Amino acid sequence: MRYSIPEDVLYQELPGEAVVLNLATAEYFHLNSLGRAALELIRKGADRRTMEETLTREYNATPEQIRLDLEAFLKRMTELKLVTTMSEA
Amino acid sequence: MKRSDTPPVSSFFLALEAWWALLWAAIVIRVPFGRQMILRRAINNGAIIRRNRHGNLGSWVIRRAVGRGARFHLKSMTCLEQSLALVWMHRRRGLAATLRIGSRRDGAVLRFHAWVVDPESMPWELNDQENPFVPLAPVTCG
Repeated sequence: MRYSIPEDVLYQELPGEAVVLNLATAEYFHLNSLGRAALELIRKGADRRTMEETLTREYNATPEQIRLDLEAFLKRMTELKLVTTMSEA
Repeated sequence: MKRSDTPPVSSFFLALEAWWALLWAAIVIRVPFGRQMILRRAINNGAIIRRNRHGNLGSWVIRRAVGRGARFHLKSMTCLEQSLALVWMHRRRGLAATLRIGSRRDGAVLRFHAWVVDPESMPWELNDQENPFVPLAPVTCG
């Protein structure tokens, strides 16, 4: 599954974290290091599996832990309409 | 340098226009679709749309009018509402103005603030360099 970032979403990096704000919904979310890395992968067009593999390598964590963290992150971001799911071609 | 002033009558009508602009801003940002459209337009760089047909009406005159307009509303106008009114009033007169929305960490709280930058004239309130709020920018995918 792939995700995209709606055009109404604004982003800013702050020291040690980042903020995403959706203008349409006025919902915002602040991201930790993993969230920033995940959002960067979404921005580059990575699919879910690629994101899991990349983050597992980068964060030296178990694939299961990364999968759970990423799932929770994407679920929350989707609920807040800060990312949207794209149907696979 | 002495600033040119507007006559009292013009000043009154300008404040009245600001009052309506503030009211409209307060309404439109509470409507999801309106908020989306209006904020997107305001955040995009405000190129000079048409010639300034209001002579040398300065940015500070508009700011003062918005300040006056805000004082005569029943609710206190937020920074976003005031900034939107400012952007509209500037652009209506062919003056460039761009909305900025920024955030900053204040202890455990994440604070947001809206302001206007006007590349054509003196910065007002807070400019990008002095502002402790970091402006948010659209995400570019690809």
